[in-house]
Amino acid sequence: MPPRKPIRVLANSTDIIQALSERGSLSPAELAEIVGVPRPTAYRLISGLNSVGLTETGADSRVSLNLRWLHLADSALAAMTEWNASREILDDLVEATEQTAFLSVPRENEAVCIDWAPGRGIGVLILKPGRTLPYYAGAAGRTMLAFGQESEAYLAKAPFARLTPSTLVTADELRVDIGRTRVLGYAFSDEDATVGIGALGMPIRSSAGQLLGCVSIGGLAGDMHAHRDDFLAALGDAARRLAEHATTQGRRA
Amino acid sequence: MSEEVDIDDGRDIMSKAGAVVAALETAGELTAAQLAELVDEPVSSTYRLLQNLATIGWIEPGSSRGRFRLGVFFIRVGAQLEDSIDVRRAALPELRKLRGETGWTSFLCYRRGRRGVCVERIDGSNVRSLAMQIGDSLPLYAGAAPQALFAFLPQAEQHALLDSFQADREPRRFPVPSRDLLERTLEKTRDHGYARSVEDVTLGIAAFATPVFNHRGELAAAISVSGLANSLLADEPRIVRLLREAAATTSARLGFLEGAAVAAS
Repeated sequence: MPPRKPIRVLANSTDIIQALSERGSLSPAELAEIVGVPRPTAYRLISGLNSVGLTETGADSRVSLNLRWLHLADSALAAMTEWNASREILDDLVEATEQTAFLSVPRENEAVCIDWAPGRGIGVLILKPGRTLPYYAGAAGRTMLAFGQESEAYLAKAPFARLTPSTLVTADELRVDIGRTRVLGYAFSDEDATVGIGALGMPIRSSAGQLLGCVSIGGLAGDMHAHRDDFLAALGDAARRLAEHATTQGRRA
Repeated sequence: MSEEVDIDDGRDIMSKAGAVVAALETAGELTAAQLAELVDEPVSSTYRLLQNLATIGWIEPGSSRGRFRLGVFFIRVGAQLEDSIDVRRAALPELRKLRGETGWTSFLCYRRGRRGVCVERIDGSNVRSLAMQIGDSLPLYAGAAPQALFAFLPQAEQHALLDSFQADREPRRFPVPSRDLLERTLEKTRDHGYARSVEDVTLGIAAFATPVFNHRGELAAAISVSGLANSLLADEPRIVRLLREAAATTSARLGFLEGAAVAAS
């Protein structure tokens, strides 16, 4: 078993980083309260994070994230070499559909967007690199719920918070959706994550059938209905190319 | 009492975690053995550290067994930080300073398609030029700030825009210069690091502009100063130095690293 204390130090530091990323700069006292540690502990955690260049303390003694996080995020993205053809494939998808295209990967019961290409008409901003959708909502989330491994464990946490009047929130509703998504081979998000916005998502799977990610397009719900068949053809093509690239990259490494 | 132990423990762990992050930031992917060497720890305790870091999402398995890379956590936090960065807010103190130290009007402009748009303006005390109020725009070939935006665009985009301006034959308030002249102006702007406009927008008015870059080295905006041509030209070296400082400070606030490659080059 890993020792307890280091985990706590790292977990508390992660909480500090999370709080700073959500709320901007904070005072050590505010951070102590948010993380739930005594002030002297908060000061030590902050000085540890400052010393490795992850946070910085300003002249007003407020703490904020170091701008190095911008570069760390780019490095983390670049290291995901299995997806390094995604930009071209997403651009082709936008070319074919004029919708906003997304590539997401499954992490901790969320679809985390790692690349996107904005559509011609409107940019759909609910997903963007670094933004997430829960597994129960949106095309990317529900694709991952249907084609991932642990859907029942996830459904045990239902009911979920409603995002729009159309959000599926109970385990039963989601079970039906999982079945339908598996049969169809794609998820159709009809205003269940954002009112007025629709999306289509398809899984990207390894040759062994393991879920690697999801490619999806989003736009006005009416367009998704009107052009569904054409969009699915383009999406299927993108999913196949992404899967091919991801598996050959994996083998080469 | 036991608090003291906790301190050393915590600092020690954080410095090792920081070393792992820095190593992966540079290398992309590394094995546990390579990380152990870089952190200067036995492989067994490095494994424990890596397990911990994987648990909190800082690292994740890489493209093949036994290799690690930075976790999606970094992408999430970096994206949130990027969303919170506001170019206007980053530039505003510098615009005020420019206005204070030169007495002339300072501007912040973004590129929007084929035009440069004024998004911030601090009026000078002597002359109030009517051109480029907030929300006004100029074609990218006219005026100092638009020209700075034009000159520091990535080459492919710049060429596409040059083509599109030349193809455009309808009469305009600001006639399109010949391609030759325009290319020379852009080249000069890149070489000198600032754009220079003398009475090409308003008679009697000149302006200088410098480009602002974001953390990826992409062009984010241009900062400019405009005023009476004679006075401005007489004071050119000092104003340009102030503009360079303003652009460098604003770029640094956007995460631009000094010496990093600029996307246009």
